[in-house]
Amino acid sequence: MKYRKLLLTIAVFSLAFFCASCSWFSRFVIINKSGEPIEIRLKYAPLSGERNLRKTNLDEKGKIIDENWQQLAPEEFQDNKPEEIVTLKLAPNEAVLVAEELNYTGHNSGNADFFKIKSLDIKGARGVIHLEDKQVLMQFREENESLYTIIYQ
Amino acid sequence: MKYLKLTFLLALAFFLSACSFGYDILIINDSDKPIEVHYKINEKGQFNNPYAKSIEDWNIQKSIRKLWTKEKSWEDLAESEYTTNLETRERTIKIAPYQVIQIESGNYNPVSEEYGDLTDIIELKIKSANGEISYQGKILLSQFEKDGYTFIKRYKDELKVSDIK
Repeated sequence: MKYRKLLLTIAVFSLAFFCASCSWFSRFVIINKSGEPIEIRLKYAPLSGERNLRKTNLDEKGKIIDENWQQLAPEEFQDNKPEEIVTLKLAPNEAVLVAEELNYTGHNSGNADFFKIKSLDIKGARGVIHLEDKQVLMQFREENESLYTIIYQ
Repeated sequence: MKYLKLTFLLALAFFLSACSFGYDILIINDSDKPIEVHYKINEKGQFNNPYAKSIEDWNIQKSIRKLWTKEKSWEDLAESEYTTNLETRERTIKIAPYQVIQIESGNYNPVSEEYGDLTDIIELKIKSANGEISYQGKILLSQFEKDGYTFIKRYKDELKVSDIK
């Protein structure tokens, strides 16, 4: 009986360890490399929950500085809750995290319907980008399994 | 002195001509549904004849270069598959599933031309039952994949396991 209990504990711990080591978050990030401020408009799926928007800046090589991610303050974006529309401005050489997905295995597997951003508009000095429906997810370029980007440049 | 000037001018002409590259802009419908491509060109631009190829047996993700090395040549797109309005400088093309369309080709001189000014296309919209992509302005080409001097926009609307890199 004692032996069985020990075995069960080991099994539970192993399962927890296995699950923990196999999960990751994929970040979906919009980067402004245009040298001018840009305006971003996101329409989220209904009841998509709390916004988890974070911002960082780019180093001199144009790479995201991971240590500088900071939650966007309420005054840094407008959130039209009934319509699930978020608008924000992004300065040059800044990046904003607009969505995070658990265990996303890339554009080559699964279904795109889960993605919570349903339309995306980016306006700036170099022109306009408009993405709708499944193309919002598809146009994020895979940098690695945990980072997908749209670069405005 | 006269010869020196002439040599210099010839060298400059040679340098500039050597730096000119042919470029192509391709739209790939990598989905099993037809898509509609609508684009507008600027006032100085001219419409190219659109050319088509089938991509059925190619794995585009592995290498887009296969488009060029494949023996199959480009074919003129049937006139029923596109419409052009010369007054508004707009064209609409229907692209069948797994088909590649070359919508523009030309010469690019990296010495004198800015990358964003390369194309005459000022607006592009790609639509299907599963979504829409639209670009306006100089941002357009920066949103294409670049393979040498080939600019590619790939339209894919389902996440398929068969596409593994």
